[in-house]
Amino acid sequence: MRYIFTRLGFYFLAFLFAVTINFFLPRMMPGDPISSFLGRLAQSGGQITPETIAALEALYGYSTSVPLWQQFIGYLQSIMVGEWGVSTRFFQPVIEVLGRGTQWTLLLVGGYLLISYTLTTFLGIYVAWKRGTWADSLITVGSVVISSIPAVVMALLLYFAFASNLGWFPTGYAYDPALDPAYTWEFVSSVLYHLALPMIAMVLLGMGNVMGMRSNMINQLGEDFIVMGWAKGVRDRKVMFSYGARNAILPMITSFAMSVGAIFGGSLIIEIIFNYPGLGQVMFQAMLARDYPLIQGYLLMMTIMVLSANFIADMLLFALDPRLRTALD
Amino acid sequence: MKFLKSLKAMFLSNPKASVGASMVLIIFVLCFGAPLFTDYEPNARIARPHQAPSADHIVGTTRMGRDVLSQTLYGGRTSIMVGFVAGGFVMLMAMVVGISAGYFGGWVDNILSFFTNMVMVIPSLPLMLVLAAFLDQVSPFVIAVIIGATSWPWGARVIRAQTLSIRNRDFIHAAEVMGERKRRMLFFEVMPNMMSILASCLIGTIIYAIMTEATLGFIGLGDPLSVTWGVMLYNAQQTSAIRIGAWWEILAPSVMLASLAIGLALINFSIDEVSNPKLRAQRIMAKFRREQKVEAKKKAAAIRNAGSEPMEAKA
Amino acid sequence: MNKLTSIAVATSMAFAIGSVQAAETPNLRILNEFSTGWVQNFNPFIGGRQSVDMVLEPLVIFNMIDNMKPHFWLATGYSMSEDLKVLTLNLREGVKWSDGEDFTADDVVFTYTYPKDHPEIDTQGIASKVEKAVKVDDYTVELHLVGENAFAANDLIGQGLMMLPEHYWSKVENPANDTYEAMIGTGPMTELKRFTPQVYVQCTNGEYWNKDLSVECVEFPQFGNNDAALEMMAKGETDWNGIFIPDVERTFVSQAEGNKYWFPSGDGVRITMNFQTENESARRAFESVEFRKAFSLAMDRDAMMMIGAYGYVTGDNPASDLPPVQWGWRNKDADKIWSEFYQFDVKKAKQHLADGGFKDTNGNGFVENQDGETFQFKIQVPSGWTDWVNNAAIAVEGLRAAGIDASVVTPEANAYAKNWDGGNFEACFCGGSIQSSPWKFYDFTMHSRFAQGPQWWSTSMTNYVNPELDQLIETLGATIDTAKQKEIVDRIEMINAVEIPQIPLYYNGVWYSYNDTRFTGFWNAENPVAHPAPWNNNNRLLHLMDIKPRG
Repeated sequence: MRYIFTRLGFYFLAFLFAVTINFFLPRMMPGDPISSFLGRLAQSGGQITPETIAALEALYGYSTSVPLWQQFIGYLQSIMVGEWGVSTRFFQPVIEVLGRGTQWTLLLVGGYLLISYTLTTFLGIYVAWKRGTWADSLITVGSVVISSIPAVVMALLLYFAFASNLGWFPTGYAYDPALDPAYTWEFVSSVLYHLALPMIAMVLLGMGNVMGMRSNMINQLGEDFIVMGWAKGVRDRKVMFSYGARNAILPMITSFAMSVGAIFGGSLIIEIIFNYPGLGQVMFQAMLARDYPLIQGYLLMMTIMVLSANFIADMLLFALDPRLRTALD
Repeated sequence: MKFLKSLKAMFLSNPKASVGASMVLIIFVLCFGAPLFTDYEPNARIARPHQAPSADHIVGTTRMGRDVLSQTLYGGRTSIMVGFVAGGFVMLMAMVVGISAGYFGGWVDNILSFFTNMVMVIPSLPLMLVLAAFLDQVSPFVIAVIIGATSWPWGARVIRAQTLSIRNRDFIHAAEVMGERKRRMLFFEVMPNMMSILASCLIGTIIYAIMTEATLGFIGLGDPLSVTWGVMLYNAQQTSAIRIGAWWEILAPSVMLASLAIGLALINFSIDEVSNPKLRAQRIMAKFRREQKVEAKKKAAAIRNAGSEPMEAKA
Repeated sequence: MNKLTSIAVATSMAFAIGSVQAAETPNLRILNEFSTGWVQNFNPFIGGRQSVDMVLEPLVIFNMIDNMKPHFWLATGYSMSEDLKVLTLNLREGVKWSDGEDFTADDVVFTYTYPKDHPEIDTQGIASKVEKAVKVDDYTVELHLVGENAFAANDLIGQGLMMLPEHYWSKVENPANDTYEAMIGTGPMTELKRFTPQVYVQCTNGEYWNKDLSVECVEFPQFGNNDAALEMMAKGETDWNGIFIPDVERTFVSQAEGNKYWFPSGDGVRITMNFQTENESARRAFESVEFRKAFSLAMDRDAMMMIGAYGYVTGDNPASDLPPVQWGWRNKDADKIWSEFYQFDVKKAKQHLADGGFKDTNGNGFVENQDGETFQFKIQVPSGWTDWVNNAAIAVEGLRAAGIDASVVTPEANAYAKNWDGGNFEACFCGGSIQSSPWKFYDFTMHSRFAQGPQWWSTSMTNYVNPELDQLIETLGATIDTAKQKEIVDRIEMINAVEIPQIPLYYNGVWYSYNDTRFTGFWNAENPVAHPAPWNNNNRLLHLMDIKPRG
């Protein structure tokens, strides 16, 4: 129990730290919502009149005269009650804008985690078992090579080859715009179809996990209890899964928790290139439009998701690893 | 020195390492010897826009009528520089934080680990995006520093764990009993035993930094007038190079980026193999399997020769 | 639509909910607004979907291609009093709001009064220009102006000001945050048939007054970036686009049957020098007219138009950078003087530098200023505006060839704007803007009252102060006689040609393309009616009336 509280305490402090950064970073950036609104107008050749600015200032209530620390206190208060402000780019509550993107990002990232971790774990176990064979060399070297390809390059390649040129996959959207969201096969299949190519890109980029699982597994296979298992005449399959893999997966959970932030970040470039309407796209627009409330909300959302993932991993480890339990008790 | 010897052994005995090393070496020679391979300045307008590859321009020209080959080679210098600066920065931070935390333990460890974990849970790419935009016109060097400043905690954690395990080994205790000074211990007892992990950490960071530079550049957060692989991709994308059919403009930096990353990853992979005896065991396993096969063949032959003896199930 | 069919449609709608209607005309698919997902907000003041301009209409549409010629819309005419103080509007009779109420003078009076109570929605500055709006009868309104201005009509009754239904907005307390889901309007497309984050469809207003309308529904597919839009356009899936297309023949026209384009000229592009920069040695150089002549002569405008702008754009800018829609006001004599400098001639540029006393005394390849001080300066251009960044690089190549030590900086667009707010730049690659009248154009881009301000494309780009110019612009605004106006404009144009306070380069294009397999009647170079792009505020209502379904 003490362990859980310590972890919770840490996450709370980390959260405060992140909130502080969230608040101060965007505010130190040049530009404000008004000038960025005008910028967009100017680029699209719209008419800009001197009157526009006064009206915009009145609308946004944007003013630098309130001292920063007062803004900060106000910010802390509103976060706690779930008021994340109104996006100055989309004119909607930040929570709603983020929610719209989050559902697709969660689908993409969640699906990725499921597919990628299942695939790479089994491949890792397999090649560790078969180490030294041609299958091992092929799969390990292959996964190192594939996962080293930069995300930008991989995404551009897949997009132009399979979506734009061959037309096997859609070139944008999360589902066919002609459909209305509903729990029908038609809609679900459309969602999956639109998800497929970005997902393939992400899974390919995540193939590096095979290596992690493989070395964990090989480390385990050298342990005494495995050798004992063999000596006792336990069947290969059982040694592989019950003795080896069970322990080899533990470090994978930690590595998953640590990489969750990177995975969400990584989905950004994928979403931009595949025109997939997730959080990454939202963030990119928010950055360009200097949408302070939205940028803050995005970083906050990311932090919460990463912290939760870490906490879940902690709990999983606690439940799965008897050593940790005994050491703490 | 023992380390160098094992390095040499690694490259000689491991085909993956030598393939990786030669890929990296070729790219280095191409980029740093750029004037030998191209006569054009990377930023000079020397031809009509989007010329297809020809004898004059081996990989064609860009929208601005610049030579893609010369951009790729000169740009590589900057991209590699970004990789090394960021890598160096990360290593420095990770080593200072990781080794001190692991070696001194106690409250030093508590504070440093807390700080490390704190920075680690803040999602780094979004943070980098915000920082890059905040710093306005970001030169490649600034990008390198940003990458470094946000990416060190992972290395610090690995190094701390490694330091901890080394610290508890007998020879360190022995040295302590013999009254060696702490600083000396850190540099002469602990560090050399982590060479491989430091090297692999460094290479890992360099790969990460080069890729991240490409990402930030591609999104348009780099200085559009600098020449790096990321900015080349950005310019190509902005001028819809592939749609127009100017695939060479995307292909050249992509191939270089991928090759460099793959080459470095192969080296890293081999270091892991060499430094982790259990992973090295695969060679022995391979030999064992070969022998087993030969044995099995012999056995089978023997059985065939002996006629119809009942076969036993194999384990 | 005649009565019989509308009854037929209504009954079939009533009885066949959920079933697909046969023989429906296709939706007119429009690409004009970037988004990461549509948000249902039709606020007409700020942040709403642009297509609210197909719900609420202006009194008059001024033609943005043809010298601001008026097309009467909800008004049938207007007249200005002799003393330039009262603008009388005659309203169209028989116009109904989509909920069946009559459109009358009350709505117009309300429209001009409402912003005074809500300054946050006063994007047109009504409060500072209109003293009061007075209802004369049900179809006549007088606008009493604050100051006298001969060009007030273009400013006050044009596209930017959409007439509001009083019976809805008078009950709204916080107009800036209202999403206007009621969509009550006099406009052609007031029925929201479908709204998802990826697409929305607006259909015909049963009460619509203009019988030219034939399109049934307009559809807006969402797209997040240029590439996503190009993907749809290349396949010929969309009908009416306002998207930049690189290498248009290859990537668009040849890709699908019926894909066509027309890129008329938009606003001018120019390089400006900051005459109040803190970089003293550069400022001294900018002050020399010989230096500015050399600057202009070092510009390889053909290369800029070919490379950065794909050869889509045209040049021939006057020294004032007046947009083509106002070329009727150009001055031949001024143009003749200016043509000497609107060309690329490095040799002549060097000659002018020498004449101005600029010599390379320290032998570094770059000239020193009149006082013998070394100077260098940077031209700022927003990062991400790729064509401009490329063209700024071409400009710098030319300057360096002529011996001027210039370079480019690419701040992010917001920082770029912040820089002129604080006067914190040396030179700037920027736009020239289109304004509703020549007076407004000169006032905004040249009158010193906008110097040192935060306005895009205004006098803030140069911080140039010339009392004679200010005086002329003020007189122009108060002059109603056309011949006198022309005289004043001639003088303004002449000052620009002689003084060269800025370096005009070329004109931005209007990125308009269409596919005529499903619809006909699109405007093009042979039929250049008005501004053709499907953006709001840009004559698109006129265009919509001309577009007819095929077959």
